[in-house]
Amino acid sequence: MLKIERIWQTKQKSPSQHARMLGVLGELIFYNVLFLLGIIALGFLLFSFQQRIQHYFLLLAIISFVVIGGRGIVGILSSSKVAGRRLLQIRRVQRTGKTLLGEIQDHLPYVPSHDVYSDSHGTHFQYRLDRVRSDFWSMLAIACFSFTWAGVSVFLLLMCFDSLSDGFWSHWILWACLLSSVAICAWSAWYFFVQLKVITSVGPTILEIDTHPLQPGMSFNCMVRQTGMLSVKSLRLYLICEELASYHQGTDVRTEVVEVFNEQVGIEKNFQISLNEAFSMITPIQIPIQAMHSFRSSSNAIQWKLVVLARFKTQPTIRRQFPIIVHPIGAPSQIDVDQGVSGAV
Amino acid sequence: MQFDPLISIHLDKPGKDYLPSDNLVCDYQIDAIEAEEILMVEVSVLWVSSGKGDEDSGIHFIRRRLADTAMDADLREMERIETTLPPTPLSYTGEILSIQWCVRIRLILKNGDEYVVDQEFRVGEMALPKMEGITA
Repeated sequence: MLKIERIWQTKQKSPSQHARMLGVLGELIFYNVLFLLGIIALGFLLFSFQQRIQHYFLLLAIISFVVIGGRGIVGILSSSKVAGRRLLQIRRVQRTGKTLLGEIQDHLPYVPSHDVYSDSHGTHFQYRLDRVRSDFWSMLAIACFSFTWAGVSVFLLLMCFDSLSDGFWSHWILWACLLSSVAICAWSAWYFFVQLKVITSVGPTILEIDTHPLQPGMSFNCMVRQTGMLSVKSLRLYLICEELASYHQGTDVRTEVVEVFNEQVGIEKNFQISLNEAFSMITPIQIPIQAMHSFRSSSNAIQWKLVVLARFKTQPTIRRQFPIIVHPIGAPSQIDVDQGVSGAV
Repeated sequence: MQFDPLISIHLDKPGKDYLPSDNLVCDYQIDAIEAEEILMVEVSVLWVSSGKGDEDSGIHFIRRRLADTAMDADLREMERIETTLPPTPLSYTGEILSIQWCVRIRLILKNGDEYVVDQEFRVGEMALPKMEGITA
């Protein structure tokens, strides 16, 4: 009877690990050489007595050597750390002879913990959701980018003036670089001011829910609160499920995100928000009965979230995301588990 | 002419559909090879991700039998493992991510050859209708 099963099975020889290891070793040697060359060349250049304007160009190239080499080394070392963790996992199970289930502290393995819920309780419903990323950090990032490019543009401008003595057309590449740099600088400055406008004129968006944790088929109420002095064209609330997949491409780690579920669960159009009174909207939401639970592993994830998309008459459009955790049907909540443990003690 | 060894895996549920926290019983057997040629047999119950991202896996159960420690025991004989499945992750088929549970048998021979056979099964709520993308 057992042999009948074989026709359904796949059989393969495990690929040799040697070729993969040689590849990683080669990559590691390459990045180390690049990094060391960069450091040595940087030292020579910095202590060179004949510092000319061409040296600064060379400096940029050498710094890129150091950065690319260092980044490659860090990338390879972090990849080997993940592989080591897997090996450790196997050895631990082999040593104890137990399943991993007994050792994992989480009552739901590979389901993210509830850290997306704010420590502070909501004012209307019990649970206040935390945002994925605040506007402040994106503004800070674009500010750094903008100031860096401004510095590069000023530096190029000085070089251009310095080279004018040789004639305008003798250094036309330098002028072309200056124009490109100024264009990038102008775009980043414009984007910086857009972000600044969002922060200063659009108030925070607050989401609160009355049920936690969520499960497929479960209904819950959600309250959206928007503050600020705003003239709103539309405010929409979406329930979204995404698949996230991270993969290595050379030494880069790329992440692809695909929406597999998107439902508009609330909408309000053409209204005003004053400074004295915030806008509030309560809407019932249902998690689809066929929904997959939230999932997170090293390189892959399934992520549920509520997204607020607001369009204003004068301010830029905002899209604010609030992750939620969906447990599988019938799973005990962490609260139940905690109470069970404390009760037994 | 040299034939590959036969590795047979049999799960206790014919449809290979399990609920979370179900008990999984699996029999496996090795054939078409001499007992003296086998160095090690490893059986594991694990989930493996596939799709666009790098492969992730989570080992739930593992047992390794070595020819040295098995004394006179024949590693080819039918062996049974039992384990209680975890509540998560459930099997999933999405657009760029799939999660698949399987019983994996690894056979390593003394001459260095290695053979791997997977027997896939599903962990999920069977009462739910199937819908692509968000189906558990």
